Amino acid sequence: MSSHAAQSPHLRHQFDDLQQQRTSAALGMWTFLITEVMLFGGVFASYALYRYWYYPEWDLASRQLDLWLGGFNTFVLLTSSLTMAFAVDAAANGNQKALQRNILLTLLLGFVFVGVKVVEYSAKFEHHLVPGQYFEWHGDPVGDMGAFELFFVFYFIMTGIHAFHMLIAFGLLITLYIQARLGKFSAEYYTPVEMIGLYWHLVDIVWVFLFPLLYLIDRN
Amino acid sequence: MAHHSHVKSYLAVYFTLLLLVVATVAVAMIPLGPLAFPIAFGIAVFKTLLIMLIFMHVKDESNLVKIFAFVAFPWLGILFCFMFADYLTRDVSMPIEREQQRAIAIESVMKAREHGHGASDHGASGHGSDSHGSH
Repeated sequence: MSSHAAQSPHLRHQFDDLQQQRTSAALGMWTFLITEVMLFGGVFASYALYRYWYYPEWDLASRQLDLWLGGFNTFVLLTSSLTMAFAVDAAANGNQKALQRNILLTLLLGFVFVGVKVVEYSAKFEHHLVPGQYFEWHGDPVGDMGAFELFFVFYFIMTGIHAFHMLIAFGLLITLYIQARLGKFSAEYYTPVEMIGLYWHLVDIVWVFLFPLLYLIDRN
Repeated sequence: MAHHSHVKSYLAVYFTLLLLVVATVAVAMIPLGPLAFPIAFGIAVFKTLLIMLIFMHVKDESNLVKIFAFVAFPWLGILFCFMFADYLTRDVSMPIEREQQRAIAIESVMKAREHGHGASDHGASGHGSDSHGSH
């Protein structure tokens, strides 16, 4: 609007004001997150079907996963969501130091998560639990042998897509950190911090469902 | 933009989430039978709501953004409902056993093939009754 005497340098010409600009960004980001929910939703739906078909086999297969590593990773990821929320809060208050510190903490916790995932994956390779030519089932040989392998197909696809999202997020967080160091964000404009925060929280939400579905389906 | 810090509510949400993780693990350890899944699922949904509303600020967004934030879930519901409407009722709608179905399918393919090669009617029906007899 031309009535604005002093326009913010952050305001793109197609928007009326910063508020409208931010809401447009949020709307676009949530639209993208809907597609993410649908992507994971499709995998969850097929998971649900095979879980229903091979109920006892998947109970047994699930026990091969390390509950404590999975639980630790859940804790790490929830903590990283907290530091991400802190980063957005710091940005909104124009606290540059806290913003940079919390971006780094989030990144560090993300590295820990993926590091634990590497440990878990390599244990699966050692125990011949990776689907394919070298898959061997040493557990209780009850039921359909292929169903055990199928569980690990789902384990690797689901945690793999999830971990891939984490790797993308690392790139985003590193970019954010550099931009924050260059002083690109202020209390008036910090939309990128907020939007990447939304992405990070979504990745956390996916894990909230993955952890019980993969690690906790039959532990008693 | 006057912005007051959310640090306290973030911490409250964080500790609630940690408690809920402990609860999920505890629920998995106790034999609850058919209740185990609904309880674990309920906890996951509650955690998701906390993260979305507080960490992702959906609670402070405009109604338009709120709709976009939640609209994926009814769609997922449609996906699950239609898929399970099919698979959970297959036994009801198709009482013939899978082996029988396969035998019938193979038989009809054989018949079609023989017809395609211009075999006589007699030969086709003869083969058909043969495979019937073997069951």
